[in-house]
Amino acid sequence: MAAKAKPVPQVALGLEPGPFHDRLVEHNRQQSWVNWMGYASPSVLDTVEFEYFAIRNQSTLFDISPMCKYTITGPDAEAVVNRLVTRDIRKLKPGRVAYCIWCDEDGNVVDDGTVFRLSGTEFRLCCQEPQLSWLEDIAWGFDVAITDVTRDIAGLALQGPTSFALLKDLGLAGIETLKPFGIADFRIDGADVTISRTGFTGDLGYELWMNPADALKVWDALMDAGKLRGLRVIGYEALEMARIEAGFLLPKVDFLSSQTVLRADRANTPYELGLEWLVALDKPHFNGRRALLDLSKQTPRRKLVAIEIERDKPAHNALVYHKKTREVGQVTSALWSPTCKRNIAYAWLEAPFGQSVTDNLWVEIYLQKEIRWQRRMARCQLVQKPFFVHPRRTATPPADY
Amino acid sequence: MKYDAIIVGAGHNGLTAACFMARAGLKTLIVEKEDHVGGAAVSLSLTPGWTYSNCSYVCSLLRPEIIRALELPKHGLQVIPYEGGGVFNSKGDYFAYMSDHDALRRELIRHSPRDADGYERYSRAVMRQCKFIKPLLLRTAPDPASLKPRDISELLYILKRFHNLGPREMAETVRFWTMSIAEYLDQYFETPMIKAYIAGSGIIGTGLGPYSPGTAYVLLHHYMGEVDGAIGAWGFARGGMGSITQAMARSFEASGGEIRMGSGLDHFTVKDGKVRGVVLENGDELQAETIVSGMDVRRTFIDHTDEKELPQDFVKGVKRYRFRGSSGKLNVALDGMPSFTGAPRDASFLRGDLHFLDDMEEIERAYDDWKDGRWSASPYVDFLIPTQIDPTMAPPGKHYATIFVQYAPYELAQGEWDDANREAFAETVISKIERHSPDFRKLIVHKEIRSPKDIEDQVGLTEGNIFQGELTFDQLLFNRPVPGYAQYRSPIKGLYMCGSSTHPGGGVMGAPGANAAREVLADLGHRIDMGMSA
Amino acid sequence: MSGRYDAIIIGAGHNGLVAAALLARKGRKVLVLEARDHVGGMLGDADFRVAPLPYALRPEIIRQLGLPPQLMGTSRPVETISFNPDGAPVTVLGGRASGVDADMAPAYATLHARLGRQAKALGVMMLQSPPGLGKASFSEMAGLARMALKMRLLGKTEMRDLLRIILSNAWDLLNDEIGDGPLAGCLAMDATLGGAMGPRSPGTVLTLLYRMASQSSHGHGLRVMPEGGPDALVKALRECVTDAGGVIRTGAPVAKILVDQDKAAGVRLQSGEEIAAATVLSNASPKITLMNLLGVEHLDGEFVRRSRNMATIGMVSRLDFDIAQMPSLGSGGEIEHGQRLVFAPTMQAIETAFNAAKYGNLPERPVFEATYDATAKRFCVTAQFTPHDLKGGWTDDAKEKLASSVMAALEEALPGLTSAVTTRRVMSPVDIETGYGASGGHWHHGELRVDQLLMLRPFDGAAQYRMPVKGLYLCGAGAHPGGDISGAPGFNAARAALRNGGH
Repeated sequence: MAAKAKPVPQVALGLEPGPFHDRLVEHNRQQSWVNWMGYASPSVLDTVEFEYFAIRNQSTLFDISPMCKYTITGPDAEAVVNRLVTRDIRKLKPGRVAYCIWCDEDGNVVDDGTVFRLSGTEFRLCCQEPQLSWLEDIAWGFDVAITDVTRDIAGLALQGPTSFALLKDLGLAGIETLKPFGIADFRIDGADVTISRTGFTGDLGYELWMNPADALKVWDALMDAGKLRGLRVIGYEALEMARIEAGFLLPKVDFLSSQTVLRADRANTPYELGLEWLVALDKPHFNGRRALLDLSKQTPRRKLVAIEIERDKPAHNALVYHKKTREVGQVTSALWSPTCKRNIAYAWLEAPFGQSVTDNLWVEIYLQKEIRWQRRMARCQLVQKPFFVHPRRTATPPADY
Repeated sequence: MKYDAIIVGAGHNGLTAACFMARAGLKTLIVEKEDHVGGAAVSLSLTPGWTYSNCSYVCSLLRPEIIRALELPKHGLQVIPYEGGGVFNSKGDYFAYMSDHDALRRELIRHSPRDADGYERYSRAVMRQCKFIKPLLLRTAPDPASLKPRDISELLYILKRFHNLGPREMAETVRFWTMSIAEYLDQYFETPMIKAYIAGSGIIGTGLGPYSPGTAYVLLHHYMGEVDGAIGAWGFARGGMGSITQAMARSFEASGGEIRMGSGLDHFTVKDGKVRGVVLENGDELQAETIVSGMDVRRTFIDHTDEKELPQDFVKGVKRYRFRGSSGKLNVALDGMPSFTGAPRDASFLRGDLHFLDDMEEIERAYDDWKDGRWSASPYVDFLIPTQIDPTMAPPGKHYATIFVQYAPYELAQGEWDDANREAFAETVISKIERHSPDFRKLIVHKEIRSPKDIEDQVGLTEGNIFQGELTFDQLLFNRPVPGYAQYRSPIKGLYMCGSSTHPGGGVMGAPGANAAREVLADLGHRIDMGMSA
Repeated sequence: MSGRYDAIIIGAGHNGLVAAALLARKGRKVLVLEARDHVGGMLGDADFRVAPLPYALRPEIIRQLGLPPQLMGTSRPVETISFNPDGAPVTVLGGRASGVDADMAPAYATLHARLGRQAKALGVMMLQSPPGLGKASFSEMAGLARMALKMRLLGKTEMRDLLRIILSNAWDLLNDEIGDGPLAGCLAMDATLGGAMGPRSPGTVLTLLYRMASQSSHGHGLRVMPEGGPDALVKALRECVTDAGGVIRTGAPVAKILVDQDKAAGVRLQSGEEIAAATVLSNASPKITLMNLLGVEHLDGEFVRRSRNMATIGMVSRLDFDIAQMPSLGSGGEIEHGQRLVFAPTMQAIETAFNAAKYGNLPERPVFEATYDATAKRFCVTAQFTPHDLKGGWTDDAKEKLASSVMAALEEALPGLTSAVTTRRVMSPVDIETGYGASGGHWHHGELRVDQLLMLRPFDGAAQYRMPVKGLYLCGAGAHPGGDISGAPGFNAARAALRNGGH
């Protein structure tokens, strides 16, 4: 007979509230949520346009707590991270962040994310997909500890031209010296907050990392200081617009992790994604190096390219044609860029298109006009990422706005 | 009476084959020994107010192509997915398998963050395997020893699909098809209870333990089903499993088919190597030049066919074909919803398959008992209360529990399957459940106990094997049921097999019936669209 | 570093010696490094040999290496006496069984012949490099095609039969054909000895066929004792290496395989001495080679995971009993020198012994084979199932318990044996692991199962002898085709190294 124990409560069904949920609820006038790793993440709080313009014109708050976060600590931490990612992490100094990808043994991208070097022997990895078993496989045989700290660290993205001024108003001494991809520790309203000058908008911005218990306190302090700086809470949709303009790729949208694909040929190499600049083939062995060495000598089977499309209708989910007849690829992300005033998109093009053949490409756009669908072929051209760049992103010290 | 075709046995495969043949315009008759159709997919009322799914009890494997082609929904079939499942361990905790992916992740993390990640890897690996095997289910297995163009092209089709998997997945496929479920799961999980929960699918209905090589495939066999495209999802047929065969029977009759119940087959009449008809137990003689047997291969050829008509090799192969029943079943009418010590009363995972296990070793030890001719002292139990979802099977507020039990031997080392042993067997199961659900026993209003012997006697599944024969590699694909006779034809011209002892095997899938009908119709020169895409 | 060698072979087991001999005979300067003070690996220690009963080296290898033809020509097949608690023992030699029912002997002969033909068809792959999955070269595919053709040439019936039983279990096959008893027990021992499977485990027909595929001039599937015993075999191999100019160093344990620019560069000994060579072949088990000697830092995470997942739980212990005077068999008759006794009265007895081992326990009644070495007055016992991961560990008590249970069984067959024993020694799977570089103490360096055979041996991505670090090869039983004393892995690995320039 089992002991008459108390029943174990069942885990919550549906979406889970994150550390900032109480405040997000207050701002979420649209009552629209999306599922981000099981958390309720706001999709649009009010009006997507205004939220977007706040990113480019004022400053914005977005809850990034659902990001997967891992710490890698121990004597072999540098060796393990260097074995994981394709960049040469030995060059990353403590207090710095690097955008990285990591690959499987076939040279396909497993995920991308940011690596924070907190000290000589401590790293933190932030990424979209759970990676614990991957990290443990990479670290097997090495003297490191890997901890999933996703639930131990709340994250908040503070992005926009006035974000620096806002932090300065809060009295964060030394924030003006924080360079892009730099990390420093501060206190906000008595709470310890680690701030990195990183973000997903291509604009001036910071990411704030804190104990979930301090989350609401920090939020309130930021909102308070933000009154004078036009701070606005934003949802996923507005961020997505800025993300595309900034030239960042989104897993599950622009590419799939090799660990999640069901068909082996759906995985993507760094060369296909245009991320070869992240691959340091000259460093010692790292995961996938031998395969990447071979791939670096081959023409990619397909290429993810940035395109600009004529006229103003965004090319969501569009197919790409050569000479209007031959299907050669498809669009993954598309946007009419309100800031650049350009019709932009990312598209996968099968070789040789997008590589040796770049002219006479068309996208097929379907438009619904009063419940009637119209098909339109629009010419497109290959362009360079990012679509949006502004000197304020990198200026140190940043300007007030 | 003369028919174009006679089908022996109104089980789901016989009915499926019959439906397709009637739809092709054949004057088709089904003969059934019971006074109801359904075989092992039946819903019977043994106590007023309750309906049991007496044998098979959950639905997933029934191919959607068949449901659509036979218009089963029009004839009354509704399949409702169930909400998860779970396993209780002896320490008062449970693992809840949640159909909500995020909730499942939370539950996995509660036990082990590592397992939460492992589950993602594992489920994708299984999904890839299901994708590979799915198209093979509704195809006839090629004979690798044959040089016929059809066999060669079919073999090449399979090899090409295999090759297209890519090198990593090819290796994974070989491993999946041959490894033990225990070792397979050890690659992905560390929590014993979670492994035990999943491992159950690798042994249900099978005379192998989770440590036996080959059990990973059995898991796949249980996972390749789907409900509305959700691969691996399981559901209840509203009104019990009999609704499936009832709908099939209606579909059959709507196509002009005829069903004769109440008298079983005595023997096939064979002349000059060709089948001419059947003689029933009641003496009725019926003629047809095409006869399809839904019975297993041993009953069809050893019990009902004159051995003289069959080649020696074939007879040897049939006699060697292994059944080895390993499962028992309890159907229980309950006065109310039982509670479980570990879980809140309203937990959603209770509306799914429940188990009571600590680890895979417990299942393996249960298997050791079976090997020695005893029912398991601590059996693997697949326990469901469909009336939480299905309002038709018990009066309001009352419940019906279907309890599948692994392992129980067909032949006991000591004694017979008499009433005393059947009661003792039921007591073993009930007392195991009672350890986790203290009020379960007192809620029992009525129970039906089925040992493998009862399953054989009452349903016609030889030795009580629920798959009409073991799902080991020597009895799969081109080996099922007998090498060289794996394409539904028998050595006797005009006599075909369509039961689960043919490819792709057991489970309420309908694929053997559909495949057999396709072969029959091809031999008769019918080139018809069965409404199924391969 | 010195640069005197073209190739270094780690481990002087028979596969390492075969590889070294072939390379040396092709003009390569080879150095064999052996940790122990004797060569021959599991065959080598005359005082307490892991493998007292060798199979024959493949005849092709004996010919190609110019080994003394006596190794295959005049060596004699070993007769097996299968102990029968209920009567006179069953004697087996090849397809001939005596002491069984009149109708069983021909049934057995038929089965033995049939399995022999089927094993021979599969055996075509023994001296082939297994094809790469999805990217096989023409010659590799030709090997597979030859095997398919050989299978087809068995005739329709036998080919179908082979495809039916190939993944099946010995239990069903033998029950179908000869029924359970000492004869079936004897065959099921062949099918299970060295592995972690009982006769009911699917896959044991394949291991039986594997054993049957061994070749000698006396036919297939025979244990063959060369004249002079294992020592003669080891001596011949050693001389073959040294005669061709190869150098063998014993007492020289390797600590690390050196890597430079992703290529093998040589080895470092535990003494600290470094020896350069661009080609390194390792006769150690794959896990030890990759994880201990090479180091996971040179390997991809998935590769390491597959390596870790390889099934390598050894189940065999070795026991030696020195005896003053060999007693007579209880059933009458004497044990002769070199005879093999099998103590597995039924398949059920083997399965029961396996049951305990599944859960990490020692069986009450282990099943075993024994040979009598009349010269040394020694009874050499190979007992299963004694798990490497024994609950409570391999303490002296555990070894004592094992020795006593073996003795008790021996006493039944040979009354008076217990009192005749002067010394007894036990070598557990843990001892085999530490002493011979075999992970898990597994004889075959890894379970012989479909998922660890051919292009999956030792595991996916490591199956063609060549390791990811250029110039490093596996040449032990962990590589295709696997264990026993065939020499094939060493031979194939050396050929792979030669193909790649192995200079």
